[in-house]
Amino acid sequence: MMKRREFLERMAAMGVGAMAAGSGLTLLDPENIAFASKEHAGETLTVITQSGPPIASAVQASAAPFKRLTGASVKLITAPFGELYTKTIANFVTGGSAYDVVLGASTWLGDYNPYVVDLTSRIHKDPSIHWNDVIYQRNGQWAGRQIAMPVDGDNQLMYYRRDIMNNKSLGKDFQKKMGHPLRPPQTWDEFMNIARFFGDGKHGVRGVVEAYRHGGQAFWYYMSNCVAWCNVPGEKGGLFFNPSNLKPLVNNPGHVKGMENYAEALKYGPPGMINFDSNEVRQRFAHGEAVLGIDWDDTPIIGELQTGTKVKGKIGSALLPGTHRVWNYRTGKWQTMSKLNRPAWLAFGGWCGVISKKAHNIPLAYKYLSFVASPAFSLKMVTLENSGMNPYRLSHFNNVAAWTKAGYPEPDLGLYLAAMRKSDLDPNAVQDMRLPGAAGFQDATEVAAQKVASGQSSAKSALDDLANQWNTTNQQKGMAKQLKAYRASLNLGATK
Amino acid sequence: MSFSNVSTDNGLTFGAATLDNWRTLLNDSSFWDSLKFTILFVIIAVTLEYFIGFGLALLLWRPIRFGGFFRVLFSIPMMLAPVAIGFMFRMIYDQSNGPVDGTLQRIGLGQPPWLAQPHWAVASVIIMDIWEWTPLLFLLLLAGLQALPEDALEAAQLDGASGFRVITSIIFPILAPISVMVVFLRMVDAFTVFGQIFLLTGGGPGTATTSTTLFAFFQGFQNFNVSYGATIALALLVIVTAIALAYLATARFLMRRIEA
Repeated sequence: MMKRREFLERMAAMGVGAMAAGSGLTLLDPENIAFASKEHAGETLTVITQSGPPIASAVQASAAPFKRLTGASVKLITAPFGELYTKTIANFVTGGSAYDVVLGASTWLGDYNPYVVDLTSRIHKDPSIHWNDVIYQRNGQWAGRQIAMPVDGDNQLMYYRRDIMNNKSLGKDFQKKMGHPLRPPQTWDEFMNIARFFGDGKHGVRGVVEAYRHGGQAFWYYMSNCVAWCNVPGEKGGLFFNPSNLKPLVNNPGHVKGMENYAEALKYGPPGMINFDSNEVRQRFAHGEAVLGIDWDDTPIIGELQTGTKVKGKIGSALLPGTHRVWNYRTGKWQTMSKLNRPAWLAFGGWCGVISKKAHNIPLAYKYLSFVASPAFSLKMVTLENSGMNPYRLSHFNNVAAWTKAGYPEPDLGLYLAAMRKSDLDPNAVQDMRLPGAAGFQDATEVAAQKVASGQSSAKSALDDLANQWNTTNQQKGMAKQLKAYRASLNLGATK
Repeated sequence: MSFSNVSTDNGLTFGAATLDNWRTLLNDSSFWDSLKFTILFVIIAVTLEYFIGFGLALLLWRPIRFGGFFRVLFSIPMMLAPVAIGFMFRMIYDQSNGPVDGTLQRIGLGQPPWLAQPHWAVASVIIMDIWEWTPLLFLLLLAGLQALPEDALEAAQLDGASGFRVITSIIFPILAPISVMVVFLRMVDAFTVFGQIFLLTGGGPGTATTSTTLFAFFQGFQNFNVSYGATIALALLVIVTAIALAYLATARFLMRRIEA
């Protein structure tokens, strides 16, 4: 039988829960209201993630409601993206206990794996998480275990200015100069032609904005330029390594073509674009500086909702452009496609939360991840501009009213949700690299891409060097072990 | 650590003794590129810092109006944190919103690609270093100037020597020992440049401004190739020691010739 004191505490907790739910800030699930016992009063949970606003601002937003529910404080530590992996893995490797929870990249799980808690059974016993609603489950898995809680969904998509695409006068000039109509680009050739046409800035806007900065997530933008040239639909592993023998594919003709486009596009962006990181890409697009943009799902939401934006109600979203021919790494030949190849690219794989084995209070750390990933709190985050968290649950797509309430205008909203949903649910979506040492492969790629973009090296030469570096890294880490991890990441069995 | 293969796959574990890291280093063109950039950076930056510092010290050596104010003003850059300097220059060099390009464009001189092209990026890094460290040389040389024997200068003036002649024949030789010391200190320090470049260019574009310390950092702490990072750091120590010894020997030889 429930004691009076316990009854009063429950009632108080339900009151807090109801208030929080009313403000849209926290859990709607009765199971989670049980957290509101304040049994962790006085405790502090240390969370590390990248410097904000993206992701860090979501952690900040979670601190107050989480404290109301559990009594525990959240101490946020941040590092620039380029240093986050270094800081966290150094702490793990040296046996440190500086952080209880790490919100990091899904692609780093291969390195984090020995040092983090297996969440599988906790998640399966937690009805408040509504696990079947989570699309990105796979991105938190390693070797069949759920070692991370997905808190973000990630696609790289293409964004375009609808107002410019619909401008009849510009359309006439464009048709005359480029020989095809001005429209949202379907192919990379069309994409590059639009970038070229607007590249000199004479129409008051530049052609394209992408990230090129070393340490500024440039790896994923470069790969966006390659993905359609390198991936035969349904064929696994065409972007990074041959899954039969782990031979790097990064210097094949598909990559060379992608790298040439990526390097050329630098000429058509705002001045100094070689030093843009992902944050700057979003801000420049929101300031109306480019007709086309490549980015994760953050660019449109910032462009639509941020104060002072110049592109509200003018942003179209679509899958990355496609190609009519693809480099088939198995045959070693270009393959002509009967229909346009326009693969979905799940770049980065989403931010996810891991709990250190050395965490001061593992159950509390799990409660935090459960809270951040809960349907109600996550919906609030994905509909906020610049939280850095993008849809990763089916309910995020289905709850259109939440987006409208946040101020996202139609028809942009319809295009945005449709593009993300198409990408997330594509059975042939290209998965990101997930194997030990991923951060090193990404870093070397960013250096190579900058060398080409700044004219220090040709695409072929830089990519040949890069392939050698990737191969050396795999040899140092152990070929057999790396091959096994890579095949597992593609859901392929062991090699014979 | 450099003679072992350290794995970070499951905590820190040391492999058997090996010379593999050193063999890799000798054949690693990226290492040699970083060393070439570092040496070029040290030579140009320290030389310019010395002459600008010397010039400023000469300007403020004799009592002038607001002399104290200018001494403090000129000393401020070296008191700032490297992180702040890196960020500040990143804003200054910004091609879209930076004050330098904005001004140059207004007067019709175009937009230099400060951080976008390799040669410009190298120049940008050197300019930043000169701004930060010239004050150190200025202060030390100023202290040297203030300790100059007045009688030698008065004698030269009575003999009708020109200002230029006084500087080259009297001040410069007398300041030679202190000059050797300040250049030595600054040179050794410049070989370890890290924070400012990391923030300003990240070693780019490509590897154009990757100093050897930055290269060691990338290998050791970004790729977690700890052994190789340690090898690069150790190699840099050996190289800097050799260069420093060669510099001191040359300076001693030249000073003996001046004295003779």
